[in-house]
Amino acid sequence: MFNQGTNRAPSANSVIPFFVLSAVSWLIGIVFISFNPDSVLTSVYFNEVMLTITHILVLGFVTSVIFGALFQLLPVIFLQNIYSEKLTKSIFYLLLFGTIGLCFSFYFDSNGIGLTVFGSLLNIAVILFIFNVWKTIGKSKENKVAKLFIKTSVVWLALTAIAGLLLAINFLIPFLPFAHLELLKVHAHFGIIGWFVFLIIGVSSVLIPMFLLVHNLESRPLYFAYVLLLSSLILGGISKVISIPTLMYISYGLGVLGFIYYLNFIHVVYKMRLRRKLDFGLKKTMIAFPSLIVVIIGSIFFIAGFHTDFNLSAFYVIVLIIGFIATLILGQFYKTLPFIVWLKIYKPFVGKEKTLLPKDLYNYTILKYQFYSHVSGFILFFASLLLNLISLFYIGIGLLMIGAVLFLINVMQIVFHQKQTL
Amino acid sequence: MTSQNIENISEMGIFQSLKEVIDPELYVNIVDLGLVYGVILTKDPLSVKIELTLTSKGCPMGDAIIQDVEQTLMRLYPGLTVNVELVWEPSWSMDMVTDEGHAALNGF
Repeated sequence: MFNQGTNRAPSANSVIPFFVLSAVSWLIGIVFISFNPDSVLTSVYFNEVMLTITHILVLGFVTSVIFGALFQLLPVIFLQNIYSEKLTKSIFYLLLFGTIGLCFSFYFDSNGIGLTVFGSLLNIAVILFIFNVWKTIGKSKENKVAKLFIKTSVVWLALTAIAGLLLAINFLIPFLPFAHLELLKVHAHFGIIGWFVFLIIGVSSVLIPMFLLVHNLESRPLYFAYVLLLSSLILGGISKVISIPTLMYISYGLGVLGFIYYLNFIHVVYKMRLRRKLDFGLKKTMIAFPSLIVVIIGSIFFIAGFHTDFNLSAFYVIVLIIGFIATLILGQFYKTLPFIVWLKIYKPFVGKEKTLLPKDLYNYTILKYQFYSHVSGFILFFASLLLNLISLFYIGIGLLMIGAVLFLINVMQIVFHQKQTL
Repeated sequence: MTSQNIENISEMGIFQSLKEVIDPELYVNIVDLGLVYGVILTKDPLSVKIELTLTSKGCPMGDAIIQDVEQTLMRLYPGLTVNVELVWEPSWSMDMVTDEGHAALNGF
């Protein structure tokens, strides 16, 4: 097994654009939120501004970085080459123009033609993405739990995209035999839990132990989490379509149990970690997990019928996206992008001369302040939603914005890094 | 210095030289991380086989670390043929990390 190659990743230039789009979208999303407090604090979520903000975040910020990171990480997790590098580039342009067009269409009175055209572009991007992922994973025997979660997540992504396109067409030519709001809820539910959460669990089940140096883990809790979350998702979808409230409560209950099993897995990894000292990239990754506890508590309150000023089911979605998913992504950016750029610039010189390390490609002090402003920002932001306090809202979103600007500065510093000689 | 290196070449010397190779993610050298399982020197023809492991299979930095080992030894010992063999048995564990490696990983 001489020189078994580990370099199976696609070229840096085909994945870096996904990261840049993501970092820019995060800042734009936060700016939009700060300028539209009424749309966010109101209980009516399906207004044009909220739909615009949501799609900037879920497509531009989250889906973009997931696409880019997956093309980089699938070879690592499954020891396979990416099936087609050309496809990754086509997917990027479809995602970019689809997202921009869709968000403009939402913002300008939910224009039916725009939503349908750009929704179709996004559906093509999704089909190509799923094809590339499926062919890449192939018959790999590595990391079976991760494979299960990732393959399932892309099926939910397809269902999310199809539901989205049906909604867009319905804006143009109303044809749905039931209220479109119900399909909108299903679309959101499939996207957030089915696509994001399943994918994150699959990828993190390999990467978090790898970064924290933990081996020989019991995979059963993850299988339990898989069955519970999948059942929750299916029952949740059915309950929305045929309006059976009991099913919805069972769905939330199963979802809570699924999250508990996943959190327990992460807790075990954290306790067993051989790498005791964590850098800020990893700290930021790990701080995302306690926000899942807030999601669980919010869900339990919702099941128990508690009433707050703020709609609890919407609170749960916002905490999931901004608390858990965004925080995890912002942390993992520092565990992927600097390495991609470093390999591109410095690998030809490794061993031949002294080179910088990936961590030298960004400003660590900026990362530290980004971490503090993001964490304090999201705590105050969530508190402002629950307490319906506009002043707290501005402080929270202001801190999130400072974090997003600092983040973008670091991302650009990494992306435009030029070779330095020591 | 280089000709002296070749004249005084030894397995222990090569092992110590590998401390120049740093894991780009953990910021600790591969010797203190316990990733070097063996150094087998052959003098005629002059070549060395390095038995190396990684902290996890499919480590994205694996290729860069292997290249670093090869290039560093070829730079320090001109004329030396370097073969790096990636091995997974026994699998790497924290028991293989030196005291210095532990200190670096724990931030002391």
